[in-house]
Amino acid sequence: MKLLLTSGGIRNASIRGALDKLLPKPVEECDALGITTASYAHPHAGPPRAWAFVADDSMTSLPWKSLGLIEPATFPSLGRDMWLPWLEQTDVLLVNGGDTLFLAHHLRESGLAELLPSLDAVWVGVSAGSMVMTPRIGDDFKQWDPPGGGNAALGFVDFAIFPHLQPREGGWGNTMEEAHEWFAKIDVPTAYVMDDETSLVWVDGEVEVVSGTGHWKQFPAA
Amino acid sequence: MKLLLTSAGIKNATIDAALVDLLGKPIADCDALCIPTASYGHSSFAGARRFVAGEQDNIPLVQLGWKSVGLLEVAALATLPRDTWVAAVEAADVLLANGGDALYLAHHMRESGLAEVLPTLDVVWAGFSAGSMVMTPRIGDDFKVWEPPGGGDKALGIVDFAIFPHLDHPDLPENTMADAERWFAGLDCPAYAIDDDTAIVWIDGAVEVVSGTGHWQLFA
Repeated sequence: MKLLLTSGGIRNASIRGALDKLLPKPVEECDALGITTASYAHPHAGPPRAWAFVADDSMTSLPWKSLGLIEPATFPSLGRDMWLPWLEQTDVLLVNGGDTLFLAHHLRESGLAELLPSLDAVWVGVSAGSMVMTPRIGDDFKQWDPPGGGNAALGFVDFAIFPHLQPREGGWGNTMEEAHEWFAKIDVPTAYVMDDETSLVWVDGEVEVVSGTGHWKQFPAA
Repeated sequence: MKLLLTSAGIKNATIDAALVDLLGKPIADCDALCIPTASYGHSSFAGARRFVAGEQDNIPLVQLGWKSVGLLEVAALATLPRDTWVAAVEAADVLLANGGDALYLAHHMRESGLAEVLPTLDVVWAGFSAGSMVMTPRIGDDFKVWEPPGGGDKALGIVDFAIFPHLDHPDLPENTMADAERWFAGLDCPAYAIDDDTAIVWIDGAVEVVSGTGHWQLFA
C-alpha cells in the first residue's frame, strides 16, 4: 500500500499531482472506496461532516470510475467474503478525518488493519484519516477513549503527524507553539507539523513532503 | 415516532403530501439524518454512497431539499457514547432509511439501543424497501439474505403487519401478486403488498395507505 497523508484533503495542484503519480492509472479509470468512520466520534464532526464527506468533498468529488462507501464498523457483523473482494479490487481508499483512535479501533476490530499492508491500493487520508497510520497521536488530539485506553494508532509509518497548522499567525488552526508542546510529550522520534496545503507521500518507508505554498516543519529540526 | 413506510421513496405528489403532513412543516425547514446501514448487508457499497449523496435518482429521499442532512451509521453507535448519538437523533426531524437487508439493519438497531430509543422520540422514520420492512414483525424467508446471529427472519415488530415491497416491478419478475400471496401464506401476521407508488403511514398504531395511482393489496 502507498500513502498520501493530507491535513486538509486534495487542496491544491501539488497535492493533486502527487495523487495522480501514486495512482496506477488516471483518476477516471480508478475504483475508489470512501471511509468516514472517524467522523462519528469527534465532537466537531458527527453526522453532518460524515454526510458532507460523502456528498461533497475534495476527495470524493474527483471523477472516479466508481466510488463506494464502506464502513469498517459493519465488517465484524458481515462475513469476510461480503467485503474482502471489494477491498482487494479497489485502487484507492479515501479516508475522512474526525477521531483517529475511533477509526483505528474499528480498523483493528474489522481485520482491515491487518490486511492493509498486503493491499495494492493508495490510502488517501485527511487529518485523522492520515494520523491513523502513525504510531500515536499524543494526548492533545485524544477525544474518544479506546477500550484499552492510551493514544496508540496503527503504527503503519514510524512518524507522528500534527495537522491543521495555522497558515499564518492568528488564523484558523493549531499553532507552532502547540506543536512544540505536543512533540515534547509524544515519544515518537520524528514528526511532521503541517498546514492544510501540505501532504506527505509515503512509499515503502520513503517519505516525501508535497506542499505547494504550504507551511510545514519536520521535528526534530534536521 | 411516526412512520412513512415506502417501497421506493417519495415517488409521487400523494406520498410527498403525506410526508409533509407527518413532518408538520416544509421539507426545507427539516433536519434529516440518513441511514445507509441496510445496504451493507447486501455488500451494496456503491449503493450506500449513492443513497447518502442523494444520487439514487429513482428513489427520492435524501435529495428532497432538506434544511440539513447528516449521516447516521447505526453499526457505529454501539461504540459511541450513548448521550451523543441520542442527542443527534433527538435533534433530527426525520430519519431516512435506505434499502438493502432489513435483518442486518434490525440487528444493529437492537445492538445499539436505537430500536429501544426510537419509539420514545418525536421523529419521523421514512423508510425505503428494507428501511420500511425493518419496522415489521418479520420479513418472510423469500427476502432473507443476511443470516442474523440467532437465525430466523424477525425484524423489529414496531408495527404489526408485514410488507412486500416493489409489487409488480418490471425489473423484479419474482415480485408478482402471485409471489406476494405465496409469501404471505408463510407468515403469521397481516401484510401489505405495495408497489413503488404506494406508501404506508403509521401513527400510534393507526395505518393509512397512501397511493396516488399505485396499487396495493392487504392480506389478512
